[in-house]
Amino acid sequence: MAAFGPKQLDPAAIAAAYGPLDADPWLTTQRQAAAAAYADAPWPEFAKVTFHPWKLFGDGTAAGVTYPEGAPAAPAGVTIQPLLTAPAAVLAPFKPYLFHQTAPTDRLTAYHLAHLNSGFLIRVPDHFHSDQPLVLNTQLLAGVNAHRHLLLLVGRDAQITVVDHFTGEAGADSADSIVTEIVVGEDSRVDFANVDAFGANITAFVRRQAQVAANGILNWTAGVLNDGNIIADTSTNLVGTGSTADVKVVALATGKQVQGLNTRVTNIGRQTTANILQHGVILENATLVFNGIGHIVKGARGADAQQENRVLMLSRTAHGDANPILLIDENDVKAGHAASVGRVDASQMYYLMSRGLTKELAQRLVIRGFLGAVLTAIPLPAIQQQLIDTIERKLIHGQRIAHQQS
Amino acid sequence: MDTLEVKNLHVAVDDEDGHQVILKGVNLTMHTGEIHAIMGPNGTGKSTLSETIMGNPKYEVAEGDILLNGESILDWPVDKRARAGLFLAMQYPAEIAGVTNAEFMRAAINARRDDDHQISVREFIKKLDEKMALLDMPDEMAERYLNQGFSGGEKKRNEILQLLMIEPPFAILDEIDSGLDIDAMKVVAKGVNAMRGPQFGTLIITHYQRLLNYIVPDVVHVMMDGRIVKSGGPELAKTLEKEGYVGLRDDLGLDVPLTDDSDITPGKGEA
Repeated sequence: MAAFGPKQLDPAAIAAAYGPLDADPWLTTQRQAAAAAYADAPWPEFAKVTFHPWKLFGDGTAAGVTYPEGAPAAPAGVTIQPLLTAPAAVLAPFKPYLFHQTAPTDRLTAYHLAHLNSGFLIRVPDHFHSDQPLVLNTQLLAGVNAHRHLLLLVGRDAQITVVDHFTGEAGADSADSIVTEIVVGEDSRVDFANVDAFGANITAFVRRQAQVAANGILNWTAGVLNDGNIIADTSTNLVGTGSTADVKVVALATGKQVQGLNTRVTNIGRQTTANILQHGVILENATLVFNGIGHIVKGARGADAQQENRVLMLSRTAHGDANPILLIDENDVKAGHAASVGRVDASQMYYLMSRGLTKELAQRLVIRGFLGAVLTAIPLPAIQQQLIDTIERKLIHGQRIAHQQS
Repeated sequence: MDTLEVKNLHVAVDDEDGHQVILKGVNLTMHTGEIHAIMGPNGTGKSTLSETIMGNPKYEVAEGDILLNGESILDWPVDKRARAGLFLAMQYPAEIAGVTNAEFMRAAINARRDDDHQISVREFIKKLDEKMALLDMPDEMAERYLNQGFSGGEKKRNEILQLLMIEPPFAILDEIDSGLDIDAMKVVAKGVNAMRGPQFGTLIITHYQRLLNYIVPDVVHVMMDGRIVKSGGPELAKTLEKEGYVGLRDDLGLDVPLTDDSDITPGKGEA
């Protein structure tokens, strides 16, 4: 489907086409509402990223995803069920949350909600504690547009680790949307890691939105290693008093792709603590934009919002941006930011090379060190290693291309 | 036997003070099996010489040559020089987060070997344990990030540890004694002396004679104002300690300005 998307969506046509996917007619009414909101909804904001002409729109009722390791399994006590086939009774406890954080207030979210073709509902009950992680391995299919929605609902005084891992199938183009809602209950701790490695054929809008209740902790690690054009919004609302979000993002941009990332934490409750750490590397002709957004709303007394956004560029034709955006509407707060866009440190390169390491290997070590602050925070060693391997592979590929061009 | 030759070396550097000529014709020949020391007052070009031999891109060779086993290495990048056999223990080693000391040293050893003869993990660990024990380094230093958060003394020891692990034919030790107390200096000297043998040559750059009590050199060179002005045996270092650089300068009848801090004053490091 064309760039810029359709001018409007017809709720009746959406209901006719997608309604048959929904076990609970309530879902269809949600689709219709999103379709109705679409025409007047503004584009989502990604500062310094021109994504509007991308092929972000594509319909279809086929799921657009597959699970290379079988349907996701949850640790005992945790329930996980497909969103669309959930009957009303199953859906009922999720309804107070489902689509609440991702209301159709922007064009791309509205499009996503109207066209949902896969998704999961995960419920982690009160007092649940487990060291066993819940891992979702999802592959985005080539040529089939995926609109996948996930709701992770974590009760009170619970603790869980969730890894949401995406890969892409090579082949025909697709326009995908991945939207996730996370609810962290009071006194709960959630370690959430998403690793996005979509293929070059996939253009995607990614939105993950979390809310954290009183004294809840969300440790969020995001690995953004896609090959295609991506806009990704990772946002957390610290709603409850004393809640904390620690968001770490590692990103690698290669080829001609553009990856535009908003990483936002909004301090709403009192004594809330927000930390954003983003480290990214850009090779070849790629573009990587980090918008770090720290917002302290009026009334969030004693809030603390810190962020650090750093980008390393490995080629002269790379484009990088690290924009710290601090919006502070309360006086009694602490906030700070650091940002840099630079090249690999010459004295580090000299030192490593003086021990015989080739320029390429020295560069990869410096980069791995640079990304290490985030990589080591990934909760699952296997996923961590996979990420390191993917980065290594992309770096070697990028260096080879740079070498051919020089 | 390997040979390192420095011939009529003139070197300039561009820094915030503009274009400065630092080396004005240095000649030096050394072989494996020999320990040379270069002494000299501050700002006389000792570090420039060591960085230029290693291939620091900040320094520009205006004239002269550097030869390793008869072949000019001036056009070689630093990593090629390292693999060909040069090693520089630096005054200010870089800190690299996220890369462990052990991982780095293994990469350095393997950079000298082809793909079919990479050092095994077991062999590497055995060697590392042995060398760290020699230098009284705690095991945990192997897993710390490269030089990150190391004290001055730990960095110096770590440079010597790399020397012992890599075992290059030629090592230049640039002010390896600066900022070390006597015990730490003895440990460093023990490490260097362990390398001593027919396969190893070293050039020790120092401001003070003190280190040379523990690593006794075969040849001592004195550098002033960008040149080697006198060479001799280990006794030259002792003479210098008694008379100071000013005394030697006057004995040689040189018209060379010496900076305020040029006399040998034990306990002061070179800035």
